[in-house]
Amino acid sequence: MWQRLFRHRAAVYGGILLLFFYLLVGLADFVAPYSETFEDRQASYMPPSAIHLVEDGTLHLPFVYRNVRVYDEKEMLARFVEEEKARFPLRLLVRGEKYRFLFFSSDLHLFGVEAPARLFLCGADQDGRDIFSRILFGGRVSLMVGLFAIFLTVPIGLLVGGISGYFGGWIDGLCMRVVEALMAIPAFYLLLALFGLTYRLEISPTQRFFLITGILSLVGWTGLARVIRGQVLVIRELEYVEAARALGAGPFRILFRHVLPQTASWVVVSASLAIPGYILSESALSMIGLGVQPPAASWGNMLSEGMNYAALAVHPWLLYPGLAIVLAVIAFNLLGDGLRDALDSKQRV
Amino acid sequence: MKKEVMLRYFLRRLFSLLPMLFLISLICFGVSKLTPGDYLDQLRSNPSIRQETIARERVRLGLDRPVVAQYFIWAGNLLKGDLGQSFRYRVPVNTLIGSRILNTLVLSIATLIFVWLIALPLGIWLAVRQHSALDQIVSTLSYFFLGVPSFFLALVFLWFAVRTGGLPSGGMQSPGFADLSFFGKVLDILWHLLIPVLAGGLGGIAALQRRMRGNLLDVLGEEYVRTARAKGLPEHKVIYRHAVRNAINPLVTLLGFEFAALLSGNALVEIVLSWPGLGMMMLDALTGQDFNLALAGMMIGALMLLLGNLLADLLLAWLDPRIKLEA
Repeated sequence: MWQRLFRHRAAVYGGILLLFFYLLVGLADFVAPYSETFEDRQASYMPPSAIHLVEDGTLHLPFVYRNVRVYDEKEMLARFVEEEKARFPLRLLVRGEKYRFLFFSSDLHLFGVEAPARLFLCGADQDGRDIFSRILFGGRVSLMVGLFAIFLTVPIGLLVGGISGYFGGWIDGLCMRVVEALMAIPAFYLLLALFGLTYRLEISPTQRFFLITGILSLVGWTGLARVIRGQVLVIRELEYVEAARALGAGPFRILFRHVLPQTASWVVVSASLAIPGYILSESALSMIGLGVQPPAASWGNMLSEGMNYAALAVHPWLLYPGLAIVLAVIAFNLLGDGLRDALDSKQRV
Repeated sequence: MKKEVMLRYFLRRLFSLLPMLFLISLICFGVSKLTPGDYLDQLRSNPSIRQETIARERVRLGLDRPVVAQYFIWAGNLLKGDLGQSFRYRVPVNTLIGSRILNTLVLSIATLIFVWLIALPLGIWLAVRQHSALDQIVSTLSYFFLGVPSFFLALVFLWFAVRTGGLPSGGMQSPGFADLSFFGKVLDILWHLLIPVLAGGLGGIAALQRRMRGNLLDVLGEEYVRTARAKGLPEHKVIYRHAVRNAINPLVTLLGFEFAALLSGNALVEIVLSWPGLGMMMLDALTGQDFNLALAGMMIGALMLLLGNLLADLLLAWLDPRIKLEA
């Protein structure tokens, strides 16, 4: 199976991209030049920093100028002008804000420039926060939500689908009616309602993260349960299951030891194909203000500033978090499709 | 004979929706009860709502009685078609929800037509030219668009619209809409539809085009296609008369699902582009704590989904003679 997966070039790229993303957001404290909550009110809507190499015809190591806000009397708006007085070179491994990561605290950052210049690779938002840094910190929520959600939905799906498929009869009827009823309520409206009822709760960002994951799983387990049930219906008729039954194994032992493990490859495929859906749901609900609450960052709630079209028109860099969503979703799609093709012998033509 | 069987099948399916509706109403009601405390408490702190309204609502919903009784009161009202009052807009939910449903249908039907009109021919066209440079470019683009969420596309188009200044930045009507002639009104709405339809439809085109292309390629590998070619039929007849017809059949189920999602499929696009539809209404209702409205929206969305699935099954049973209805 691994060989077949590795033969899938696209899937490998997807996997590598994902590893890179998870590494970046995992080490966000170190990689990001600024912290999640760093604000510079003077830098409200500062455009992405231009990185220069040449000054007065001479070549230098990469550097930025300080960006200063000036008020344009004629057009009646504030704009940023680069102050070409001093060069601020891009430095590797600079000292900056202090942070705690796992067991040690440090103030070392992978790269940055000295204050008062700012290195805002993707510009700044309304409060003068660095969008690039916040994409990294926000990615922790956005990328983890999908993983945690499948850690919850897979056991539920296995349990319900397994019991439903193996025992059949009225248990099956009841389980499947509940699944169908849940599926008949438009998922987005159900999510909207559940998030709408809970977004006002005053809880810590960690608690909110688990609340969000919980709600997404509550709505999302049904599809998996159906897939598992279908698989179990087939597997329970196989001869080795018959043999186990003849040897006197109890139904739960057969189900958990002999039947469900056979569905593993399907579970892996459905789970990896489901993750982008969770990422999108979280982003969408955070974007409309019902998910992750500021000042905590997530890709979705960063995009909500872009919903103000007057601000968006002049500050298109507010859309960068959306690009992060697109990249992550495509990477997961590539990996999921590759896994499916590698596991599905029928598609191997 | 077939007609009679169809009718019996239809009635049986329709009947089986009843327990389903009961379960759905239980879930929806349960969700609305998740609010910490009784939601009228939150309304009481809102000065713009009169105390009499709240008292009337309290009796109507039986909030002084146990939860089970509350459910039956609510469900009874629902069966009578009484969805309650909207607290925010001070009108019965029924009158409010009608126009919203209409707006949502306008948007989603326009998107549906746009997607199917473009995706089917595109899929066929690409399947016939498999491995050509264009096929590869469009396939790569499609894969990309599968990963671009509609709400992000909506934002990008919004930026483009405001930047160029020529296109409407959201909404459904221009400021002077009421003074326009009938034709002017239609044109104005079409003009406002452009961005939401593009934002909601591009992903759909990508997905459907891939399906159509894949199905047709499968069919083109079948033996009867080889037979048709061997018979000396001209290539266009082989493709359009024989292959395409069979390749489209599986997509009918898909069309049914699209009907099912008509009311909820574009909710995010509505919200980002302030299209006054059901999705926008649901969000407003939830942030404005207008629970009667939110509950009604959820129930109607679910009803539509069930009817859509039923329609899909019927369409398929009607089109595909291999399906036995009596099973």
